[in-house]
Amino acid sequence: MPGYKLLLLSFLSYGCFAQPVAEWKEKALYKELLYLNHPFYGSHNPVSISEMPRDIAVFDATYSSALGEYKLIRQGQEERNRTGSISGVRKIGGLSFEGAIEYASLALVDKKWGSHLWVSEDNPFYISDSIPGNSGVETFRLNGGFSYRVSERWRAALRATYLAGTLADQTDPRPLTTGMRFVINPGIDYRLGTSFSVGISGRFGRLGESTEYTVINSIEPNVNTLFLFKGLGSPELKSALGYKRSYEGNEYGGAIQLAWDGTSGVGNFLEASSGRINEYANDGDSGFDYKGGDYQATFYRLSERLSLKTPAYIHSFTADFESRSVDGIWYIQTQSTDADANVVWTVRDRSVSHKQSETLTGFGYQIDRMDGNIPRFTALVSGTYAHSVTHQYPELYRAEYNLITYSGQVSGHLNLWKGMLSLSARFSWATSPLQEIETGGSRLSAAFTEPAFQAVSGSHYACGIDFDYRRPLSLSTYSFLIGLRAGGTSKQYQGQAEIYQNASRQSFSLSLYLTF
Amino acid sequence: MYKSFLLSVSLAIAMAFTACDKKDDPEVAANYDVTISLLAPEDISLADVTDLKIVVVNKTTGVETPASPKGETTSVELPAGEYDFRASGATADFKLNGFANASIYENKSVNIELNIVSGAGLVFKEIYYAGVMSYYWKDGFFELYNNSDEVQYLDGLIVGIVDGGFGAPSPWADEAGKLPSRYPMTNHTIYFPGSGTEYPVPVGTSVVVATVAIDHSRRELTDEDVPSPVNLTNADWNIYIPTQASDIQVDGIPNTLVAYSTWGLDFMPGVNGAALILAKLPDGQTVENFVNDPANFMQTPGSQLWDHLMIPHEYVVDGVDIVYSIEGQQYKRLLPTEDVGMAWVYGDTPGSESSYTGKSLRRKVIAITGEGKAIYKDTNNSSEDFIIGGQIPTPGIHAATPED
Repeated sequence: MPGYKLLLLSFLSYGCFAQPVAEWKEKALYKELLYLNHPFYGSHNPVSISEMPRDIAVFDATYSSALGEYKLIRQGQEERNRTGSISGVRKIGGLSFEGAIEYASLALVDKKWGSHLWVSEDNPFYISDSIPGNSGVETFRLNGGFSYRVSERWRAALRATYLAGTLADQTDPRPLTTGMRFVINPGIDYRLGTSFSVGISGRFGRLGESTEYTVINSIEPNVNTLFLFKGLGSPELKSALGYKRSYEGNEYGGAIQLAWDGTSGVGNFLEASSGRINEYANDGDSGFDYKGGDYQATFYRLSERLSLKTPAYIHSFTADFESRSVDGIWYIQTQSTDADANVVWTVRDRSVSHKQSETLTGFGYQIDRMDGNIPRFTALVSGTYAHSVTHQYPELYRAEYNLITYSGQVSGHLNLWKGMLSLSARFSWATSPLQEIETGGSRLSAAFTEPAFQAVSGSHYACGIDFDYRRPLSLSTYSFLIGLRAGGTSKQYQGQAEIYQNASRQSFSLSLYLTF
Repeated sequence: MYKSFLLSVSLAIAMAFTACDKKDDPEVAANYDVTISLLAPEDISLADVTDLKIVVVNKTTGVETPASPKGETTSVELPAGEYDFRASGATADFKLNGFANASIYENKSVNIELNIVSGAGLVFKEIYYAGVMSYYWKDGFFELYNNSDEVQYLDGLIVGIVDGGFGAPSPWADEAGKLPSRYPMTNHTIYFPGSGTEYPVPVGTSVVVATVAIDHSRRELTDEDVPSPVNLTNADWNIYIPTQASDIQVDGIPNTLVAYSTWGLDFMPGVNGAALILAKLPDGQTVENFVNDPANFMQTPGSQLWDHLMIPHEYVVDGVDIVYSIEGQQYKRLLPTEDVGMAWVYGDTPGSESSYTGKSLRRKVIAITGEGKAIYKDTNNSSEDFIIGGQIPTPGIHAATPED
């Protein structure tokens, strides 16, 4: 027996996930089928773990890269990401377990601005330098959960996710960031009759992150400066030498779900959720304690999905609404030295310096042409309307935009070479009827604030294709799928900002995976 | 019944999640009205003061807010913060400066007392302290210029570095941030020899005083070394510290003398700068006698590390408050009578560090006389008088055209 077969058999004898070969098509499209057949799938409530109809395990190795000028301000000019993951679901009687472990190594070329890792993207208080350099990000994600069918009517579930990572820049000034985010997500649901169920779920999280800057043997004097951002501009400047920042944060939220999964082919899922995130930045160590700003975000979401099933088609209508508001609280502090010559910062004023509100409204329609239980062709059209207003006080800096995005996607699943080939084509066009920014010529207006604003609010289009081929293989009494997935996307800026004229970004990914 | 119970509980929990923590939310940051009143020295009327300017500087962000005085008062709108209020003007006979610092967290009135500024003709024309990579600072120099219309003399003049570190408030300031009336000297305090008229500086001329009077531009370079921009072989004076074995004397160039030392391999304001003063003792007082008087020494408040030579501010002929280039960490070391402003060198971009940039701080030329002599700007406000950010050093060279 060849060595690789022996190795594989050894693994298979260890696992219990192998399934009869006849069901491989459903296994190949398990994510699509979960979406189409189970209203709780993808919801806030972890009872959705029970929705998986069978045991499954997926081993995935992915390489992806992105290159181009049209990027979010803190992304690298070029990015190369390698990810390896194992995920699966195991059902034992009324208990369903899920688990996932993922390691990712991301190389960012010519990255600058923003040295944070897990801090919320809309937190205005982050530490940053302006020197491009090559950075490395390593992340580790561990996810585990279970859902237990307590009775015919009750299910209870708990999911926990742990994220850890590091960010390191090898160009002076060199931030070294380490961070973790831990979230637990309990939930229950109750079935009323045969079709209607109601659920409630919660989410509680903790954040811990720290960044320390060092400068090593640099010949460039500019590298010794870093910025403490606080919104749309006017960051405070500090010496990078040995500067330290840490974040502590918590989040909590909840959601309710109403689901109708009727025998007549009509299904409906409604979820309302809200939550709050707090993150507190503190600078220094035993030497000094400087408050870097408090972030508070509050959000409300409403998601609705209506599905209509016929033997040949499934129609899915979706509507989503989200409102998010952010307050950034800034401290004015004065420096002095105590009797032991330690630097002491005294808070003299505490006020809201940053306010941001965002609303997002989206509608979608998806049609799936079914071949028995298997979707053969899928078409999706959607539209979203985003509105964002940001203020910085007391400077009265302001940024506001509307962004309307139209998207479409078609996918087909074909039998090919004893396997299944899925082909998808995607297109989106975003237009910005309103884009206004006023930062009064603040220090970093041209270098940071306006490019950052354009990157998120500018008109653009994107198109992409994906293919995913998998075929069943048998080894001894075990069967599994081996798959190869590849995709590419091109995104082109269409707005008026000079800095992004003719700017685009291309991304590509390639995955090899095994599904048991 | 189950349904309505669950719905009620769910909604209550969801609302409770987002209602927490609201009670402690602060107000949105606002601007405050600040009324500034100017107080003129006795026997001087504000009506006789011309070119009256007020600049309010946020000490954290460095943002400057100009104010236009109309009579004795004016008003500005300011965000909350810590501010320096700097005023300057002139009468037919005197230059005036005024300074106040204030914490603005409500509507407030601030008084600025104008004082007649010091000055006796010799000024710092240029100071080069930043050095070049890799970590080379011995190419430093300062240049003194006779900006008056009569001959000045170097004899007995003291040049000193004011203690207080950089990037943090001076430990010598009191709780209200007020600096003492005597300046604490640190590093090496040097002076010129002579009995009174041995070392003249004619009108419109200068003397270059070198840390080490050699051609630094030709130093041997290795690895990441950057050539120095200065050749100091034509310097007029060499700073020689006899107690430091690494320091050298240069044939043909006279040495300055050391009045008192705390620490340091050589005369070094530091590559991030420090306040410099040029002082002249009262007639009849010698440097040796001054240094021998224990009453002219103090220790840093809260520290017993050094005894610092203290020079009364009224002895100061000229001073430049050189501060750290990072604006949120700039703290004054000089009183407004000597320098109401601040000056600094930075790298390629404002706010970047001065260290090893190879740039010097130079006073602006405001006029050229009929004889072709430069007249340097001297309002005892280094923020206005010097080219902020720095320039390539020009020892012994004077601009041929006005720059301000």
